[in-house]
Amino acid sequence: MAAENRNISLIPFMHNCVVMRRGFFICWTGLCLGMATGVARGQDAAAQALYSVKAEPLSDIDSRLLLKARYQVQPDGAVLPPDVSTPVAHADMPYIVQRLESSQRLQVLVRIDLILSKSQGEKNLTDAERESIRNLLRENWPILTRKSRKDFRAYFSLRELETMDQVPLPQASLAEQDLKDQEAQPVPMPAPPAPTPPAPPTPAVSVPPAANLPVVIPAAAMPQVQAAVAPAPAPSVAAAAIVSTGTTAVAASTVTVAVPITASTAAPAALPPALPGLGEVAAAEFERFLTEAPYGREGKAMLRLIAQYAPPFARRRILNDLMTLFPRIALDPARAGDHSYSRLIIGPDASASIALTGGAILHEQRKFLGGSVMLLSRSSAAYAAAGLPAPGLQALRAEAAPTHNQNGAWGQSSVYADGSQSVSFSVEAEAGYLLAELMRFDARLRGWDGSAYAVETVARDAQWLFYDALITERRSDAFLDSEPRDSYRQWLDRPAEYYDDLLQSLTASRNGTVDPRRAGIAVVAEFDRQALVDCVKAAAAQAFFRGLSARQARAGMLSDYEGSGLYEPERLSGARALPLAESGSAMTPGSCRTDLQSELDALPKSEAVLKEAVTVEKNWRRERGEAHAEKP
Amino acid sequence: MPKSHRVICLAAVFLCAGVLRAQEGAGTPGAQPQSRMTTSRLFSCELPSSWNAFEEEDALGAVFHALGPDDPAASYRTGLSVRWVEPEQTGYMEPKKAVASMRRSDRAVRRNATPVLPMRVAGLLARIFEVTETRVLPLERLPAGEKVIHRYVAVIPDSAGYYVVRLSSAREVYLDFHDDFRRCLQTFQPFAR
Repeated sequence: MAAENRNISLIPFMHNCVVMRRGFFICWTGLCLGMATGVARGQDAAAQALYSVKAEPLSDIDSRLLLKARYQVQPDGAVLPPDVSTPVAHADMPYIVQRLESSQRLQVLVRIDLILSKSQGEKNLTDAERESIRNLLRENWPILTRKSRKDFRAYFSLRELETMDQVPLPQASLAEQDLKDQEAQPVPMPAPPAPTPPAPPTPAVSVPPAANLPVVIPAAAMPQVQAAVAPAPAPSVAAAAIVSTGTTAVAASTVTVAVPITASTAAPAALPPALPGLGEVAAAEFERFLTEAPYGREGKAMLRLIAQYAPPFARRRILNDLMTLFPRIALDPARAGDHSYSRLIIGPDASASIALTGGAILHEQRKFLGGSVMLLSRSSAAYAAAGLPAPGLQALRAEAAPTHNQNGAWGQSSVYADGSQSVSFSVEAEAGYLLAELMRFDARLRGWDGSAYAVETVARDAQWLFYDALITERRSDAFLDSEPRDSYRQWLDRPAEYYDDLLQSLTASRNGTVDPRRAGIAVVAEFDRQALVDCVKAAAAQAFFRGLSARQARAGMLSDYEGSGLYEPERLSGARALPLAESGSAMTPGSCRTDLQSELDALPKSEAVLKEAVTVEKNWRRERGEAHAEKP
Repeated sequence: MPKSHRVICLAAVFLCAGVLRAQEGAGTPGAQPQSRMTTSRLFSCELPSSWNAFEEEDALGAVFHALGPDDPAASYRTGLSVRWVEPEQTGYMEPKKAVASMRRSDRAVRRNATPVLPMRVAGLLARIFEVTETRVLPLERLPAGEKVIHRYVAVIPDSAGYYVVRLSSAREVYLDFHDDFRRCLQTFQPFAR
């Protein structure tokens, strides 16, 4: 259709050329270009042709995967995506197959990891366990990559391998750019009558909406680890092996790999229509859940600690959420971005994923009088986000070997020849941050996230009470590294200063969790009510504020990098000149009314949960006799 | 250009320059004071007009917060807090003990305090001092480094209890807020409790 329209549009152009008889050469050139465009469009149209399994049959495993993902094959060979009436285009099929294969590969690795986690170790597998792994591998051998096949050769005899290796390797990865648009676009709310930017010009050739519809693979048909967050890098076999052998340390590398602590094959953690309850969960019941739960050893260890030491108001919420929704928990510095310890990511399908960093890079700057310490990310993605390459520290290089290990203020660390250190946070310390993230997830889930400051206050109160219970039991806070230890002690000994510092750090542009214009609950309510009067103006003001904060944050971050002495001034100037990345969650004039109203609706719940946490902390301080608390 | 137009243009240039200058000064530390009287349930005092203030109840009781500008590294926002402390509250300490506790040094965070100075605030004898300590900032974001936080502290005993006024900022900019702190204390009006 597009090609026909394009060719029709050439006719008046040719007519003009003949009639006017001026610029003959230009006309011919234009004509050639137009025809070339027409040919290209024709090729595009061919690419939009429908895929037919009769013309190009799929392999057995690919057919199985398509059916499993609820695709339907029509009698004429066309393939219908689930819940979509437009058949799959020919050009799209390789990408769909690739995505399904990738999901299946991940699922296989995760299942193997689960079996290994439950076993006594890879060397002591029972016959049943070994056979389960063999079956999984045998069934999915055609989609396993060369490296995976190599890693799992030990499970088969040479004769078996000879037969299995006759199946060709899966095709090389296709370009990912074409898969980026597969998330459903938010439908903007009807904007109130107000000055809006001019609409983009209507294209000359209108294409039916159905032709532009991306093929959406339903989240339910995807394995959880894949469906939770689509752009997450799939863990390599090496990464899965790290989990399976129980090694918790993550090798410092510029290329970071997601190591799933969650290894779920269950449905994705989409928010269910009915919320999880808030009843008490017995320790035995949770332990039974953990035995079968889709989490790796380290994840289970953290969750056990949380179940045992978290304060009751947090424990009740978290355990119920966990047992209902299985949020993904992964050791994934790349997805944690610039967060030091952990990051909660809510996917477009409302699935939750918590990325833990596992550690950081420590760079010590020695000066004439003393020195200072700088913490850097393990992930090259964090540097790339700032427009910089990863610094040339040995602790960031996969091939560098540490000279020795030491236990310092930042916990266990590997020290390299250039003085850089790779610090690994303890399981207990990370369990505290995981607890805080799970509380944030609960806030989102149960709709008490109207006030970001309230959420942060409650989440951190739960974290400090958790550490306190653990420290009381162990009579030592040695498991905490410098940052949480200082914060915990400040919360314990100088709570007034702690609350000041918390607010002033959360509202700083680099952290940016709390909007300084509306930190308190009453202020948020007042702010939202005023903003609702003129939504467009409020959205514009917010966009301006966010832009300003983003600029300040980047300037601050680059100034920190400059102070570290790790980058050349030219490199930093180049990074400063880069345009700022757009923030995805900005309020738009179309959505501001809904956003503000839902925030207003969530405020009473925020207030109630905050009050509960405040009461718990007050009682705790009173019971403790305030031996450590310095009131003001 | 006609003479009348020239005059209008010149006037417009002066007007714009004035507006720009005023905008430049707003919110930046050390700018000309554009303060307003801030009133809370606890007290009233004069604060920069661009600061965002609110009052809430936390685990220690009622507290007033006012948030000012970010520091140059965008990792710690300047802020002022005012707390009212009375014997009924949990963890109450005598003003003298409270001052000693707040001035106590701590090697782990390199915490130090200046000597205590007396100052008359709203007819009451306040004790003023400064505290510095080192923290890793920005909070839970990377890259993070050790930064010194500076606090101006005033403990103002009243009949039934005492106020603690605290202005915290990054050390790089703390002098810029000295006047704001002084102005708040000079205009401080405690409410009868």
